[in-house]
Amino acid sequence: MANFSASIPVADMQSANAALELDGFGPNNFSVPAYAGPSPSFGLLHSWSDPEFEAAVAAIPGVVIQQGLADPIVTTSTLANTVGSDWASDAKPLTGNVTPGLYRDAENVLWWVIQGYNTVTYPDPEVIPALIRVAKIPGEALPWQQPLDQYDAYKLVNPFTGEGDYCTHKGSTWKVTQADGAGNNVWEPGVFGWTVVP
Amino acid sequence: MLPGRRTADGALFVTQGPPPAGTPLVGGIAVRADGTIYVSQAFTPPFDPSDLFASGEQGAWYDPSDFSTMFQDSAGTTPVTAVGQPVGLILDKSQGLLIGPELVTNGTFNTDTAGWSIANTVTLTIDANRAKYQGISGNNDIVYQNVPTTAGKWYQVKWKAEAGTVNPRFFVGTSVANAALLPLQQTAGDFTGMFLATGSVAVVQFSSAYSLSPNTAFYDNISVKEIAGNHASQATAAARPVLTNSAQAKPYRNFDAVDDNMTTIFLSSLGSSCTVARSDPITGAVILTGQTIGTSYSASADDCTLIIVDRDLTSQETTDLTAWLNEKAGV
Repeated sequence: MANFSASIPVADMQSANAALELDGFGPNNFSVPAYAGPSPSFGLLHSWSDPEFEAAVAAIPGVVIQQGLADPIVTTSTLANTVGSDWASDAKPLTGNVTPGLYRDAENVLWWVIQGYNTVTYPDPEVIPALIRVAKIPGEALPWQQPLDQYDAYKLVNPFTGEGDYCTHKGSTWKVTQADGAGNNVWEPGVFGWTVVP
Repeated sequence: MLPGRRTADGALFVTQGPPPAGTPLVGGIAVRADGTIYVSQAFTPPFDPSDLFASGEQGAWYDPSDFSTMFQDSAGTTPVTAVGQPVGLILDKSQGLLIGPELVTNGTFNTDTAGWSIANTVTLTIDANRAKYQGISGNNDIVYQNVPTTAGKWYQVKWKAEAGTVNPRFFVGTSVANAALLPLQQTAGDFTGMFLATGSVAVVQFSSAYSLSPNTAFYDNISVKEIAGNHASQATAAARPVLTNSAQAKPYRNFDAVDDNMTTIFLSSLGSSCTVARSDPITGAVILTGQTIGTSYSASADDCTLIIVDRDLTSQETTDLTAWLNEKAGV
């Protein structure tokens, strides 16, 4: 059955979704995160054949379209790779020698490997942030980790959820409510820019 | 035939409950060579999923082989007519799709415009037993009526619109000039749509595509009625499943395993003893018991049928339902 997948850089994702909603195709069409770093870099969608919808998607600047292959999963996976990212469904198991890319550990946590290493030598990824960092899942509250740069900073407006990122820290769940001029928050919850979620 | 046995005093014990799907509608007594006696209740109707809801149980029953229950858009304005089309709304058959009483006052405009209010500058008159709308260009002129609703319930809305000097505009929202419940419909004809109420009032509204001044359009047979059931919808185009045929199964909802899903909103939590039964188009019956379901349920697995009921099933019901689901899948 005819189908297609499409990608958009996260920076353009909210405007793309707004344009599609204005055209009558409903909200949040781009909703699937793909990673080229610890934070999602692209938003993906997959749709069954709908020429009118496909034309509207194709008209959005920055969109890359992959026509349907064997099945929707293969189509979407191929597109993610084409734009230089990994779809979470394709994350490899975090065992043995790992190279830069997206991985999943035994507890189902997503990680982004920055630099290749051997997981036997360094079994605890949390102590080697220069080699590997937790991959952020939009809307999920994972344990806070000190961001090292803007690429894994917590966002004031997450393009997937339209609201601040969440984390857990010192027994509470926190939400980003303030950030720098670029919308990034690298401060520890309780220090600046975080509010406890009741 | 349902199994039974004869007791020492000659009485017959008969298994109660509806017979499995496909059981012939005949009754009688049969005795096998080994003395086993079989008795069937005469003219018992075959099992139907609606039996699971006969005592007022909450839940839902979606049947993708019933084209009359599916629409390509979540507003229910474009019916599904063939496989290969997206499914944006599927109606729940568990409560019989019963239609409630008319909620619109004077939707037929037979003699006057009583019951309708005007926002901004509209001249509303009767013309050949229909409402004649005449507005002023760019003034957001609207004719509206507040219709009582219950949040979480679905409503069927019908209307007839005709172009005058410009195209008509019909929509339903939560306030005047708001189209959150039924998006703007801008073509002439007889239409049916659906919306899920979010509050105690839905505002039924019409205006016109005000490109000319003055602009006119005509409206008639406006109706809003509750349609019983917990219907499932998907407003996002990319997230809609597609109706698909397979060699063996009845038509099924084909979810892409990427971003497709359809959501049901329940009026209240279904609790922790729910049964979720699905007819998988490849493997047949999949019945999960002891499921906890709150006020919403998101479906994302292919199904020839999906049934959600807020209780455990009896063993007889499980047997009957398994056979029924397998038949749907052709296994």
